Amino acid sequence: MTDYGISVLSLICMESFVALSTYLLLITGQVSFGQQAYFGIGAYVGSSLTALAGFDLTFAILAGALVAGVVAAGVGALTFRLGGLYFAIATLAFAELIRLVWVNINYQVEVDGFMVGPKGSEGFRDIRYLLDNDISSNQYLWIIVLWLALVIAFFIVLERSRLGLAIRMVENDETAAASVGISPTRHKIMAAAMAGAIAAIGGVLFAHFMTFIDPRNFGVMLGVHSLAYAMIGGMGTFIGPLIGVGIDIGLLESLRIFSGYRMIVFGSLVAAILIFRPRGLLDEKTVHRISMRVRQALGNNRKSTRAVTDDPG
Amino acid sequence: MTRAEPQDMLSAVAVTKAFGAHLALDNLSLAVTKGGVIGLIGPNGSGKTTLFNAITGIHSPTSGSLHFAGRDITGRASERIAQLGIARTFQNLKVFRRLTVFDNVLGAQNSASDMTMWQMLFSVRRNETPRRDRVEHILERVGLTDRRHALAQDLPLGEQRRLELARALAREPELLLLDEPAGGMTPQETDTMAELIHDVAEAGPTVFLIEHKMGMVMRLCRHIVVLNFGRKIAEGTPKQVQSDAAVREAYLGSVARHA
Repeated sequence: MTDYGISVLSLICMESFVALSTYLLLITGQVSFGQQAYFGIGAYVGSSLTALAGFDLTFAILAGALVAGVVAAGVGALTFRLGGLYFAIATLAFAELIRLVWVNINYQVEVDGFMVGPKGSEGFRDIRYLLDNDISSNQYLWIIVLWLALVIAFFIVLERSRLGLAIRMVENDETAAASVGISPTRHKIMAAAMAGAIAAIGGVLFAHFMTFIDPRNFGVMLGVHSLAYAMIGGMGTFIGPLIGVGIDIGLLESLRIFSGYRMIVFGSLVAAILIFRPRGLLDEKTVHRISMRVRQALGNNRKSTRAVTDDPG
Repeated sequence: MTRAEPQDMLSAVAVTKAFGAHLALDNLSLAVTKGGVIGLIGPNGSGKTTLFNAITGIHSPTSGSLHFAGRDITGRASERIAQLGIARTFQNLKVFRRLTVFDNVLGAQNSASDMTMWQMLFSVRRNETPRRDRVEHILERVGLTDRRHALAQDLPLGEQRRLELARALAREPELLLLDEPAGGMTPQETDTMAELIHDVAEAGPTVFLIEHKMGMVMRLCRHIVVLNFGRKIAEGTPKQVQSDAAVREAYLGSVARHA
């Protein structure tokens, strides 16, 4: 694979973490413009652990996810009462606040004769973990894919579990969910924490891929894009936001067919989809139709083998 | 003033609910004893749904208290009250629109609120045969078996009302609040619903029923409470209520005049 191909694929995967993070909040009924905050927390916490304290990358990822998850739970507990637009604005404000933390944070230590660490708006340079450990960009792509696979596995379990059902019940109708004993508050805070952790995994991976980060990496455009990914791809399944990322980075950005006009094309695409398919390409209705087809196909199979398996489903 | 008696399943003591200067419930006291169907009637705007919302924790009362099975439930969170054993349906349908009929009922089952989130995450929906069988059984009772894989939003109104009933039944409640379960239904659908409510009450929960269709109310209820302007103006057996002068004046009278 060419270096360019590797780098595009890596970007797609890393962007997917933020897209999935935003999606998890969307299916709980919360529109967030601020998931880049947790991506940033992951990036800064993770890089500090490897570059300043010499920790292992895996540990840095887990620690970054934990810190971001705790912060997100706290923010969730403060904002869960806010509905719709107000929640969206709160997430945006919080993300900008976190970005200003990156602009102002100044802390270097000497590592092997170099001063390393976040240096305000100049960013955090020399995150040399991949170089120091002789990890090629090809190998690193596989590390990224592995972590993304773990997160996807989480979504597969979630969407087939009672917890996933409860989350969607809260999204459909909070009053009705509460009337059957499901606490909207607890589920929203829990979803916020998990979404924060997921975005942070992407952030740690991103920082080590780039080898230097600066506050501009974690601006509002990242949050807006990840929201757009879920809305393009659809809210019926976690595959939706992944398709959204694929369309934007995979087609529009990497093929350079619309070079210079990419944002115009992307913006029009988002507008068109919001008009014609307000809940995205793979919306709940489409996913339901597909799953019915699959069920039918499986059902026919099953009937023929029922005598053997005696499956009650 | 009435007090909360221990043998009452549900009691309201001097409950007032104010929306601004308007008193939707005005110093209302009533008791629901265990068993059968109890009716709650009154003209539009008399506070029936407001009372249901107060009982289920959607609006906490401005003053007064509510008791269920010996517990004070005043101002508790909706989900806590649901977990204590009160289930309800909504007059302005609140089905989970983008979920299937089956998942609407499955997600409401009692067990879901007893599990921790981790247990819920690892309780994969497909592998819970006994619970799924119970869902199938409930769907059969309300006559939605054929529709179980449809999205709730694709059901006609009558079926959505039955789905709300099925969802409430999945809670296996002690007290079931039905807010106009036959609203907007055809006469045939209404009859089917009335039979269903009768069977449900026979089988277990005490049913507290808001309904405007008087034939249905008189036939089903052993006891009826009549509200007007947020106050209780009468209560008793269907016969007593029908012959009550205040009720005739405030409710049946006005209906008769307008009909």
